[in-house]
Amino acid sequence: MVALFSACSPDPKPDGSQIDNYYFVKVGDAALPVRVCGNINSDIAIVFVHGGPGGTAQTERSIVYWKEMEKFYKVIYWDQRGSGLTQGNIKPSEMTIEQFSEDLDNIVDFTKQVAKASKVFLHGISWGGGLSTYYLLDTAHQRKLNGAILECPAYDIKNGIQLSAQWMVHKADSMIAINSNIAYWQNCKLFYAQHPVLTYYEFKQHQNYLNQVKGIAFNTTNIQYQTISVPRGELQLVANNAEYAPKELTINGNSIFTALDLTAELNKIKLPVMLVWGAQDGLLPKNNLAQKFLSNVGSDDVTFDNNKYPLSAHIPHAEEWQQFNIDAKIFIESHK
Amino acid sequence: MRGAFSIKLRMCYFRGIIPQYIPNTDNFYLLCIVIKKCTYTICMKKITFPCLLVFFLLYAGNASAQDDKYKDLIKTEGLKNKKWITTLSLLSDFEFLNPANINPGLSVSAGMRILYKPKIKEGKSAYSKRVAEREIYVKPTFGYIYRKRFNTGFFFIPELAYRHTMVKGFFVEVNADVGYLYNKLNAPVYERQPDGTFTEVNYGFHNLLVGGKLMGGYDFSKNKKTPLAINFGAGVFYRYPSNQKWIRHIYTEVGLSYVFRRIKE
Repeated sequence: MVALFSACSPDPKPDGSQIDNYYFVKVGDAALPVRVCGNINSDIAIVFVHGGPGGTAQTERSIVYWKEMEKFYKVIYWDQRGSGLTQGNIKPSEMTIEQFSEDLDNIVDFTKQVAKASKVFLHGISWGGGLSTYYLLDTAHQRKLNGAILECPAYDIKNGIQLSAQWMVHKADSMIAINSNIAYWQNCKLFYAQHPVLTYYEFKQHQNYLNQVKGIAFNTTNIQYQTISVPRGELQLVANNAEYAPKELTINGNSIFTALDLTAELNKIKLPVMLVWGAQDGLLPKNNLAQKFLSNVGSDDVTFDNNKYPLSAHIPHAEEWQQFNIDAKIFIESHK
Repeated sequence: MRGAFSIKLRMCYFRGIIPQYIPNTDNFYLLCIVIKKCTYTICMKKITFPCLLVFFLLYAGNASAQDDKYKDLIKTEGLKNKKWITTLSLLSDFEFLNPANINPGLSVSAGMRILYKPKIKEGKSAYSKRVAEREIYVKPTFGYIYRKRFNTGFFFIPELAYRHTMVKGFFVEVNADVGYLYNKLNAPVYERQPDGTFTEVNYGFHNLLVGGKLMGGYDFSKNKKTPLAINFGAGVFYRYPSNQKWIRHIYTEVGLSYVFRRIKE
């Protein structure tokens, strides 16, 4: 009985100036969970596009960075199809970047019409940054937005993942050089020698190695969380989706791990962009990828400072959230 | 004397046992008359004590033989011994997140006994009521599980259950479930229309449900005439499809049942 009563406990109510509404947006057979939080009076919304693929935005709000953003703007947390807490029976044939982009377009329109925000910014991180980049290739999509914040965007996974493997091999050499668990790191190097092209099947092991050398989250001591309520979802659904999305996601019929490279089309993006890249990023190394993005993007309004985020790896908005708060607010205020 | 045996006879019927051969009921009655008459004769005609002893030994031998046969002779044929159970249960669907995620639910079931095989346990006397019940039920069950901001799962399961009720009324039950689950989304659902506007729609998912549960409890109607039973247990069910895969659920259940027993010849 105690368990039942605790299950019925209400969510903490937001104060009068804040909104916390929950919706689903139906696209085909998928029901995408959408949470609208933040300043109830703001007509500016940030649509957060989560990473993964197969991650979730429903726990993202616990990162303290969003507490500050929600004071000023509406924030839209949505889960992509076949990811997180999205419900429905989604067939592998529907797991394409084209369909994901169509879903994002639904969310942007929903934000304007139902969440009542006339000015919309995207904030895409990692794979979410890659999806946002793909979405921005369409001029009609760009017209719906005021700007985009791209945080370590996976716009070129095909080459980015190989750069990541090289980064990891150098790290393994460093570990061997300081006599740290030599056998383990030699085994790590052997893994990359045996898998010269990383695919979905090797990606989990690759992430495992990266985590051990802080290649994904470097400045962990500065990451702060706040308590939030989350939907009463199914744990196994989240776990299944974390496997399903990266395995099935394709572009032009090929796995995104081996085929996604949008470099040649970046010149179609004319929208104001804020690019953020952590200097310690091992998953999508800043060297080469950040510069390549800047060289190819079509927008003449790009905000990027190569000297910022020296302590961050792949999630600067969590690792150096104070700096990110300042930069994001300046970008939004200057482009609203 | 005959009245006393009739009461015993009725009690046996109530327990669902046909005393087809309760130790020579009619013979016993005749025997009593004989004894009565003989006693009169003995008293009147002063027949010696050994004669009386012979009568008692004869009857005692007969009664002992009945005791040995008792176990074999009790049968259920010829009697409609029916039992129904209606149960209201509280469900707790668990997700082992940190902190644990607990989702409440409710179910109502109607159990119809389709097979009954009593097992007679040896009691202190031939007239003991020590009977263990072995039963199979069909239990159509309706219910729901509420998941805040996610979905409410409405289900119908024609459960198949085996219940073993021990002599004292405690029971264990094993259920096999195959049913239907409809998940209705627990937040407004919007869909973009061809003209670009968003309208609110009703939406949910149809799922196949497969699972089972293990229950324990106490049936007050077994020995105490109170037509109630309590039960508790845990189960697991899987729903399909969700992105072509099965999704597992673990739950606990606490229930209260009303037990109908009907004996009819």
